Amino acid sequence: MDYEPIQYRDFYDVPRMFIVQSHGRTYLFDCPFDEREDEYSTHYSVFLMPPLDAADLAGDWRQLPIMAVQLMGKVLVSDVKFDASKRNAISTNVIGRLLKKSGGD
Amino acid sequence: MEPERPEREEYEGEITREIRVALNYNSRGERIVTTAQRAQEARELANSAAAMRMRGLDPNKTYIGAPESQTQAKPMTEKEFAEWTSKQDWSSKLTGGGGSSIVKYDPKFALQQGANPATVVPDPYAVVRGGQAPMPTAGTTFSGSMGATVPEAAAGVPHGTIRSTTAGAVREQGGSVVLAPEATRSGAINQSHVNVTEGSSPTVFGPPAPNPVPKSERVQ
Repeated sequence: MDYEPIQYRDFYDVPRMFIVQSHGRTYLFDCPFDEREDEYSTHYSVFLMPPLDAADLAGDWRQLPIMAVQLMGKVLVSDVKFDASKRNAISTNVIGRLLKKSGGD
Repeated sequence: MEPERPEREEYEGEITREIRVALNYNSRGERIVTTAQRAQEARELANSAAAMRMRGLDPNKTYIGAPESQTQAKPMTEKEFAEWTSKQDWSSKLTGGGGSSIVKYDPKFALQQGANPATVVPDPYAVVRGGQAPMPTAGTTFSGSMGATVPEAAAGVPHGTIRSTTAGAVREQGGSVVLAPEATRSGAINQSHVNVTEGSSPTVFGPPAPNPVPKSERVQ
């Protein structure tokens, strides 16, 4: 199982927003707090992002979804496998499955 | 008659000691912490000309000690010092430092100073879990928020519903409460975030209750 490092914000049980690079591309996983349900979403929205620079990552991440190139789809939070710390890396299998589903490479 | 005065070195040493004690305990024996900046200001003040004037000393003179009216004529013994410090109101001032205020004990500050994150949250502190979902099973590490009071802790979660307990209750049943500040989406740091692991079932968290903190004042 391949793991790739992540950068994250908004940790609640797991990172609720993180950036990961896989096969030369940058992806944003976003699991926002659902006010209506009074709970975090059960899914991550996965966005293909343009290249992000240090200023983008140092700033307010609430703007990142607006910068997305494409919404790749949604994955269950429970389907994302984190490293033991839940803060450093994820298995990229979930991205592979998402790409297959969307017909991407 | 000119009062007997301690050596200047001892006088300064006493000030430093007063501050050190003031940084650790108040008159009720509770641990208190001030900010590093305030402590530094206090030390500077204590040794500054202003402080000397405040104590009735002439900063242009080389003193061999402080006036008896301002401090002890002789260096205090450990017992005398303990008695004296117990009578001071450390919660409102640093007597040795020129009047800087002391804030209450703050786990976040203590953590920044290198305290153990697993023990820095005092047992009486409130710990809350946000949401209405069932509590994670014992042995599972989950997120929560800590604070001196339930509202203080509840401000650290976005949820409208919380369950609460104390750090001590979690530890008593073999669990842990580890302070772990985390960045929010905006980049601000949620200093109240804790990693909680319950040691056994049933949970020590209470039933779901409305979050007493208005939504606008909770972590975003």
